[in-house]
Amino acid sequence: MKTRESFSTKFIKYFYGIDGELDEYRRSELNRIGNNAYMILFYYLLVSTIVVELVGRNNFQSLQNYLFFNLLFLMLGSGMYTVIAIHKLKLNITDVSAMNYKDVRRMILKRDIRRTVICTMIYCIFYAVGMHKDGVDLMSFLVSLDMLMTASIFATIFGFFSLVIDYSHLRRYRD
Amino acid sequence: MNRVKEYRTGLKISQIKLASEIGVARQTINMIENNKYNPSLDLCIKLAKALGTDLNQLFWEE
Repeated sequence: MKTRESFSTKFIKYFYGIDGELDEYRRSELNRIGNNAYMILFYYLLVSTIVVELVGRNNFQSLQNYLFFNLLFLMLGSGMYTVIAIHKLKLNITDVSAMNYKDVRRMILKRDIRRTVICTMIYCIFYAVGMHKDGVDLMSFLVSLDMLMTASIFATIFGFFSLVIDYSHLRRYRD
Repeated sequence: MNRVKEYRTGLKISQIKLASEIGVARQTINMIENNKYNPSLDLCIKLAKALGTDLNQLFWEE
């Protein structure tokens, strides 16, 4: 019994990396995990803002460090918590019949290639903007050999790990 | 304690088949059978219909 997925359902599945059915059990667990992550972030931001207000006022370097640690906490703190919690509860496992297994793998390959291209482009733009701030010409850097090498390495690593992780979530069963 | 597993094995259908019939993941059926998740009334009704029984038989404890 398949029902058409709404945009919000699709977005939640994309955000948490869930390929299979988003049923009521998974939704309730994701709500709980998301709620915990929100509370962690809320108190972190509250405390860190007070600290930076006391210590880093009129200090540009402190503000830069604050932004960096915020990003680090977001990725390593709440991001890792979410990934580990989802993995422990096996919410991202997708059961695929042996008959459809090859098709699903092919679909995942295409999706991961698309995702890798987009993420590599975003990475390149951020990298080039960072270099531009240091006085390097933006356009000539974007088409330079250095950029090409960096983009290739990033795309290879990102694409490889995306594919390995996504394939590891598939469980084949026989009808 | 519920009798979902008892009815499912009685009908000789797999967790996967039951799950796809009522539109949930296999893990959800597994969690319900092991009493680790309390399904909503809506899902209970779907389960009862798919297993050809009623809510009393599936979930009521004597």
